[in-house]
Amino acid sequence: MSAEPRVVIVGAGPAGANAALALAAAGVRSIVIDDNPRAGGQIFRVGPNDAIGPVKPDPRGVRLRARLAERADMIEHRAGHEVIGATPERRLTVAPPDGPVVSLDADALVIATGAVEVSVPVPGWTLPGVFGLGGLQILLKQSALVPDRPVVLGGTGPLLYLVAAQMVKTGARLAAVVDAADWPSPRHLLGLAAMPKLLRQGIGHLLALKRAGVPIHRRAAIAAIDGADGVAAVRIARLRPDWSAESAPDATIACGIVGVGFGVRPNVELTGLIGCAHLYDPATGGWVVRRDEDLATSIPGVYAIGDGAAIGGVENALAEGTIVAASILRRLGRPTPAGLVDRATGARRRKTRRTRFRAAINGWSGLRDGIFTLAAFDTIVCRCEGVTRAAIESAAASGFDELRAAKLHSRAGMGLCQGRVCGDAAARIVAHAAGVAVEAAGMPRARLPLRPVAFSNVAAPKS
Amino acid sequence: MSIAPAFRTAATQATFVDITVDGRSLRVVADSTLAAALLAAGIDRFGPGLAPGQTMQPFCLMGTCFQCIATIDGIAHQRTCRVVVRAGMDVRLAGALPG
Ligand SMILES: Cc1cc2nc3c(=O)[nH]c(=O)nc-3n(C[C@H](O)[C@H](O)[C@H](O)COP(=O)(O)OP(=O)(O)OC[C@H]3O[C@@H](n4cnc5c(N)ncnc54)[C@H](O)[C@@H]3O)c2cc1C
Ligand code: FES
Repeated sequence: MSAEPRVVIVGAGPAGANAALALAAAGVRSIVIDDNPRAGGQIFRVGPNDAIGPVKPDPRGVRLRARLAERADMIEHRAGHEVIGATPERRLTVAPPDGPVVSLDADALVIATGAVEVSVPVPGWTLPGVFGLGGLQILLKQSALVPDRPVVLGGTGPLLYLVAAQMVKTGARLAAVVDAADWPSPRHLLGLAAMPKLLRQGIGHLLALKRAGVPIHRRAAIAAIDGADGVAAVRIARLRPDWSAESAPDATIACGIVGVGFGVRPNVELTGLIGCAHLYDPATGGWVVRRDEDLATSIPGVYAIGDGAAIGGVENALAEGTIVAASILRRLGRPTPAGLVDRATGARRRKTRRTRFRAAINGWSGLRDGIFTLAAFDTIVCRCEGVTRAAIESAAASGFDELRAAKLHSRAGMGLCQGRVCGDAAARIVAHAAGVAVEAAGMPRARLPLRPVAFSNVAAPKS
Repeated sequence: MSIAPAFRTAATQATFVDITVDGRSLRVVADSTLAAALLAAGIDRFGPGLAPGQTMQPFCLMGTCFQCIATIDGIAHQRTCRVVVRAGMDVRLAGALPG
């Protein structure tokens, strides 16, 4: 290993990119690995060509990419590279876009892998025309695709209204928005006011939907999706306070495209592989990474920041990028520039506001477990292996109350996606059938390699 | 498997490239992901799933779900939502079954 310490950051979203920029300003080089063609992560996602989209790229993302390019002397951005393995010794296995996998040792490793969307299986959710809410947004932002059939969006949380407003703005016919949550209460609104700009944005989205005459169903969910070989209609059910269906679905809405998403949770597959300690905190997304003040995990030299550690949103992701840079400089015994000390202190100070905002978001729209009873017994929960709710329940009933065992037995979550889509539902179904709390069923663990690798691409790893 | 597309492209100043899908030539918007290009062409199912009647097609568009996989230029299990179209790309959907 060279004399200069090697800092590796996984994820070029606001968290990871900001960490790299702060380190560069302090004279420390880093390698940033991200599986997307361009930096920016989820929120600042763009296609290969800025000019073609109907949604203008977020100026903050444009600035972030420009600054990364300016510091190419200090920041090596490996775009399109995917980390498919990681050890507590901070050795990464990386799959480049083409060519053999390589291994890479880090003196300091920052996991900034962002969030994944929570999916809720309902009858018909595997029909062509059903997408994740984030997926519909990505088609729009990255590839300029607008739905050309009536759309119904369902789920909960701020992303629901953001995507709905983007649909209306780009001329999609939005037939309805179906929100599991009620209106935010006055107490929630007070908490949301901790981030006035975000609250204003949310109100703006609501007004845009109102102007466009889009019906909004509250305390309701898309309980079934109908169609012979593609989406034809959705059926809406009223929800009880625990988000289970109050009665059989009543209203039917004709549509050709459905987008569903129930908020986001941290993508903890790398911290899980490394063996970092996690804890269960529903307010920040369920299984989150245990971290100290410096954003260090329980494994020496491994840090976790942004939505990949605990859900906190973009402001928090940027702030944690700054804070972790200061922590790493300390670990490496490097001087911390005065400017960075100030910014890190400021970032910590504003944490209270972000936490209040996040608590209000969660109080208003946080996932409630009853929603996972919308799946019928013959509904496919695990798409990869075609496993139904009934199959998972029978595995759980035969004594496999550990998620891992029930998965092995039913094969749910054993396919190519390793349970990234069905994991939330499978864990709830197992826990419910076994009569234990969902955290008692254990954190879903990913297996090596995280993604399948073509045999021809498994070659002698080198640094 | 191909019907009236459920999506329209809002790309301005689009340029196009030709790719091959299951032996058929297809003109698609350059600079889009392969999954998006196929959806825009009206290909809305990429293969059968393991359960009776189940189909596989893009769901998450962010590399998570593996429902959009295809064999691209001879390499199996490629997530089409992670790949930007290239002129001359050879895509096989039928051979994209898991396992
Ligand atoms: C589908 C979706 C859509 C969202 N849309 C919005 C939005 O419009 N507005 C908003 O405010 N917030 C949105 N969010 C919330 C978002 O998580 C935060 O706003 C913000 O992007 C978090 O920043 P981050 O840097 O922590 O993570 P991200 O921005 O998610 O960045 C993480 C990066 O790491 C990469 N990565 C993950 N694992 C690996 C790996 N193994 N190897 C290589 N690279 C990897 C990811 O591809 C990604 O580029 C969205 C979240 C999701 C899941
Ligand atoms: S659509 Fe989910 S991985 Fe491509």
